[in-house]
Amino acid sequence: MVDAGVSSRLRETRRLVLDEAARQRRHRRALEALEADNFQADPHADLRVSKLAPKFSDEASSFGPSRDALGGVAASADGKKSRKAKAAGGSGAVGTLGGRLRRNFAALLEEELARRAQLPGASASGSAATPYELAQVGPSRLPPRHFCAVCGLLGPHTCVVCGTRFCSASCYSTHQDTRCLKWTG
Amino acid sequence: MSGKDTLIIDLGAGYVKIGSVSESEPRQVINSVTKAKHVKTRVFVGNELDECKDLSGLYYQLPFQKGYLLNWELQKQVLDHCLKPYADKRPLSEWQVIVTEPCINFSPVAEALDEVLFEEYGFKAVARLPAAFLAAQRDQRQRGVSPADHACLVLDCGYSFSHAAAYRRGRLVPGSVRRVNVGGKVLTNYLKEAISYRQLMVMDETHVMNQCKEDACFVSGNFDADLAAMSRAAQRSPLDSEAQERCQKLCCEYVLPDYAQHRRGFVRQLGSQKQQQQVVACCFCSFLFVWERGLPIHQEQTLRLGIERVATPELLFRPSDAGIPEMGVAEALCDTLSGLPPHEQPLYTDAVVLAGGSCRFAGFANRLETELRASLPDDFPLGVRCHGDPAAQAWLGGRDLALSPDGALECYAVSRKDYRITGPPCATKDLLSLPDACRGKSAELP
Repeated sequence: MVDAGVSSRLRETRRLVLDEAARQRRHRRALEALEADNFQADPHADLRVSKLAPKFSDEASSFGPSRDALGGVAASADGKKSRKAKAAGGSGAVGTLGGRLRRNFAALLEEELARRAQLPGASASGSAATPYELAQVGPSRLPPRHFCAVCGLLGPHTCVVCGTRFCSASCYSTHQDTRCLKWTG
Repeated sequence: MSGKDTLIIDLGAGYVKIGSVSESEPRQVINSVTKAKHVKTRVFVGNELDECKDLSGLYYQLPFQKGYLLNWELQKQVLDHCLKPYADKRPLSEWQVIVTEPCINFSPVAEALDEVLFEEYGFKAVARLPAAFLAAQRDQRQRGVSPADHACLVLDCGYSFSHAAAYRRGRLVPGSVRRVNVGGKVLTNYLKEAISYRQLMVMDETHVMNQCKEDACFVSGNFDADLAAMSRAAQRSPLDSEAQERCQKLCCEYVLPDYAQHRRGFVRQLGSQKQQQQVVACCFCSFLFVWERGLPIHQEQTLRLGIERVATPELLFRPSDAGIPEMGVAEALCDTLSGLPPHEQPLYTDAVVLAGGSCRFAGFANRLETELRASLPDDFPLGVRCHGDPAAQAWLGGRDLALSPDGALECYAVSRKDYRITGPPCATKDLLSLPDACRGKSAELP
């Protein structure tokens, strides 16, 4: 079908089939990619501030490294930030505020859990779930639909190797030729 | 405190909607400090992006993470940029401000917001209110319902997530908030992935694809019928007139911006000649262009859009389409409703208020009504209400609150003097659990 001139024994040994754990990992990575703010890395990450350039603010060093977007590549240290950005946010209070609040969302959630656990009624009430967690909706009662990765219409069939859905033989051959195990979104 | 010198800032993860009470609609400022690929000398704060010549490959630095304001360095830059015209008119210490927070907020985030507003900007008074609450206020005032009789369900679909919440008599019903982690960001990323996989590598082009989503996508009244029609067209089977209509509505070209002649892409309907062949060709377009990486047609780059136009907003109703194990916004509203007292439920379904930018899709209200109608008992009245642009509803609600003759804003605003006494956060009890007293002052609600 795909490699016509190769014996089926070689084809079988060469074929790498992803197991369930690997597929779950890929799925989780795909979900994280959906939540990312940026796909690419910081385009100014390799910017070097020339030594001859005038420095506008002495407080530049108090800002620390810039925050990276969720799932994105972390930007380098503060020297790479634009001078305009430093000069614009040069107030002392915000600097300390920025330092105090420089945390990611996971840390915020952990802190909230810890705070709730310390409240007097927490141990009595049993679960110390935060309102944030309680508000999370559960799974849908409707069955999930699966779409062909190549054309976007309904995809009832699954690729044996990677688990991607396809709808017809022509879409499957396109998937095998171009994207099987090669696509990292 | 008169309402005349009030600023309303709807602080969203995607856009900041800001305006003073004297304006009739807010200014939408993108809430990001953006870096351009080819401009190494500066960053673009907020709407300075309009000055950027080439909007391809933009890198966003968002102060919000997962819908919560965590990075004040970036946010201060954007707010400074937004507040400049107002600070020039009058010093900020003479303004009072209504600012929005998410339905469920964390105390460090709320404290930081209060601290910055009072100490950095020095506002005279601050009312920190959930955006959904303001949308409920807007609904109550627009429909002229008295506050004691008002009940509504608010659906706030934003950038990071969507919330469904129930409001009664101007207060949130405790335990009624439901959050679906699908918002504008997820929709844009989904569209980017679909297009990148099938046609042209656009994973870096968040800004362009966001505009494509806004211009070309709409919510289908019947997604299954659209899928069926497109499948039949792809198999070159004969189509009946209804299926033909659906295919023609879906298949289009999206002309990408070239920043020389036009800065924003636009939808181009396929020509009327040989439309049947073009409809069929569209269904195969996806993999025809895989290797052609945007070969220019007519000296321009186009995307052929088909089922993606409806499959993208469909995520709001069925997040499981993308593998997200959550229920959609319609189901979330029903879930909220099921937690309310049964004899009061019809009061809430009569007013389902839409707010937030992701509700702006054409056909959203109709689709929500269809889905809710199918889930609710026959004798429940159902009214999906949107009093204008959904993205501006929270802002307009704030404006209505500030201008209301009964001085309701006084109940919620905390003055700088009180802040200095109590310190952040301004209210130790959050608005959720307040029984009858208002936050800030102990006046009774009218």
